[in-house]
Amino acid sequence: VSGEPTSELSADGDTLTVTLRGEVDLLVVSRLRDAFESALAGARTVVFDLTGVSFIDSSGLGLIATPLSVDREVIVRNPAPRIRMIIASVGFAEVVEFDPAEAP
Amino acid sequence: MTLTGLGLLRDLLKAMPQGASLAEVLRTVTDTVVVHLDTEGAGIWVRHEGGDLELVALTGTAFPRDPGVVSGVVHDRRPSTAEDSVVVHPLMVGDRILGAMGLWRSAPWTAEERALVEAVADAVAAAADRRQAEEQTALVLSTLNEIGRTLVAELNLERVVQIVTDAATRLTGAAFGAFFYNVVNERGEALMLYTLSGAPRSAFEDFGLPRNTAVFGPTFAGEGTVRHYDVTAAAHYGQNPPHRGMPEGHLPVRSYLAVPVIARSHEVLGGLFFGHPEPGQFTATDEDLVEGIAGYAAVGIENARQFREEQHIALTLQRALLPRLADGYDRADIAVRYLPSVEHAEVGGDWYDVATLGDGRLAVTVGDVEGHSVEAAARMGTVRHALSVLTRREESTPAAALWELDRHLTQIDLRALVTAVHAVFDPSTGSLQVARAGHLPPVLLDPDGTAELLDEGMAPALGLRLVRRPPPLVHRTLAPGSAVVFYTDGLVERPDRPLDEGLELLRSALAHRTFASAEEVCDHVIDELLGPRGSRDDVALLVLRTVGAGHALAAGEPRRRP
Repeated sequence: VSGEPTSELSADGDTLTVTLRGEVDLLVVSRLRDAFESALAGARTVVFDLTGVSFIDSSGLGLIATPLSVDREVIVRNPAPRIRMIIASVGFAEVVEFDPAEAP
Repeated sequence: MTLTGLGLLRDLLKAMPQGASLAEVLRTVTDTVVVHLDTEGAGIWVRHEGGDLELVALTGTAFPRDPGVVSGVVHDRRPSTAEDSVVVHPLMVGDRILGAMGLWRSAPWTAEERALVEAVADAVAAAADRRQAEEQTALVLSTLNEIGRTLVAELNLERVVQIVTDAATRLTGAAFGAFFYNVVNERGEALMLYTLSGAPRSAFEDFGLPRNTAVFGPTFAGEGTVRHYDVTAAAHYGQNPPHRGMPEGHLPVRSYLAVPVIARSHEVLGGLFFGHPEPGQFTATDEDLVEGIAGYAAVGIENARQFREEQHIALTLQRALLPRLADGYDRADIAVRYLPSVEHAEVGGDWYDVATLGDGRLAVTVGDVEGHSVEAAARMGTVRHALSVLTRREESTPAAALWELDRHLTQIDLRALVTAVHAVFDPSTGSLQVARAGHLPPVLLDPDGTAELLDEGMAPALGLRLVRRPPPLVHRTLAPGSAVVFYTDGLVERPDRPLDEGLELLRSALAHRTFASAEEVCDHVIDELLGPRGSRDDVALLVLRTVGAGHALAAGEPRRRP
């Protein structure tokens, strides 16, 4: 019955890390939204750890863009090549930092 | 009672801490008994529901007699008497038999020791019974919890009822389970549907729906749970014509459990039914379990209904907010489509637009506003109108219009990701200007059969203060009979395929083909890219086909809409 993606937030100094797993869609994002927006106030850099993310829809992309709209730095960590491609398809390749910088 | 006996009982009580499992507790009992009563071995057998005995705790040497001795004690519910050095005592709570406890050594047992064994057996039986009930309750609660969490997150009615039926059938040990539930279809007609677990649909198809018989009636009337040890022996069984009992060919049912599923409004949403070919299979615990599941099922069904209604409102709003195309455009043929996702799960944010500018040029847009349902549809209306005003400004280019749209959306604090491709076509010269913000590239199909992705660069998505300068403007001069395909991501994006493959699929679906109309291009693209399975996301599609002055009639006249 389980198997739903687990997502979590963790703050370390002024870096907020958002760990996402599995399929990142409206359901996952809406569960995370409120906690994410309150944690965002104290952060300068937001790391989205996308290790193992297999799908991301526009609500997931909206989540990644939220810190950018309030002048926070965004690092996208370990996106699979196809996820990286989707992020680039909405023009975010120039506004986020990828870690690693080159696609594997 | 002797000091030995008192010490033994005290140690036994200490050996049953909260949190230990039944098996752990019983092993502590045999360990303690062996130490205190100076025996060579001690064992406890637990009787399972089917009557099988399982040795769950053993300390010291193996049981020195035939296992039939233990079965005999459990069967007769009396302690063994014949043996002098082996004593086996039944574990009873009231008149229920839970199992047996045995002690063995070489020396015979005194009457006082045998009385002590009896006291210990009673204490163990009471503790085991309590622990079993606790474990059952814990299992029921954790199972219900898990089902509840899954159901609350599930908005698809068919999946809700299937999860419920499967879980309840598995947990009750039923041979099969069925969930009959009431729905109202889009024409407002009430229907009863059903889902099955543990039996193929063919096992039920011949019988139609359960009627309001003496057996089924109380469940559909919401009168409460019905549980039969053996339904064929029930007083009201076999009273209803025409079958007088189960119809021929029905799956064999002796044990029967039925629980109504009732909404908070007291409306009976349906009934859960479970059967087993052997009598006496369903317990009071199963009843509790299914009643709990039925509670979650009611919440899940109501959520799914509410979600469906909301989606219906969103789709209606969406359609109302999308523009009606004019009856035909001067020297251009335009067709549009809006396709909601297969399950209507994603509705709301996609749009297309066509505007005739004062100088005879045509502006076309396809875009996508992030968000969900009614909220997304409302945002889409705002964004579409804003862009349509900006694009009508004199001297405006598609790049300037998107740039200004981003500033406008920032000012009104839309705070949603908006992607758009915006183009202006001049039919008098064939000039096409395209600008994109975070949106997938349109495909240009030349009459010579070349299909090209117009992907020369773009601005980031709009609405989030990310656009630092106007997006690059892409120019092409279209030959008569060219087609440009604008679309949203739902057309090409699928979780099981990288995006670039989806884009290439679209490009190659258009290459080396000729089309008589923009409508035909739309149909072809939808067939090739989505096929009968449709899309998980909603899709907006706009095709602009050029009809040059000299070629207008030969290449196909713009279609007039009825």
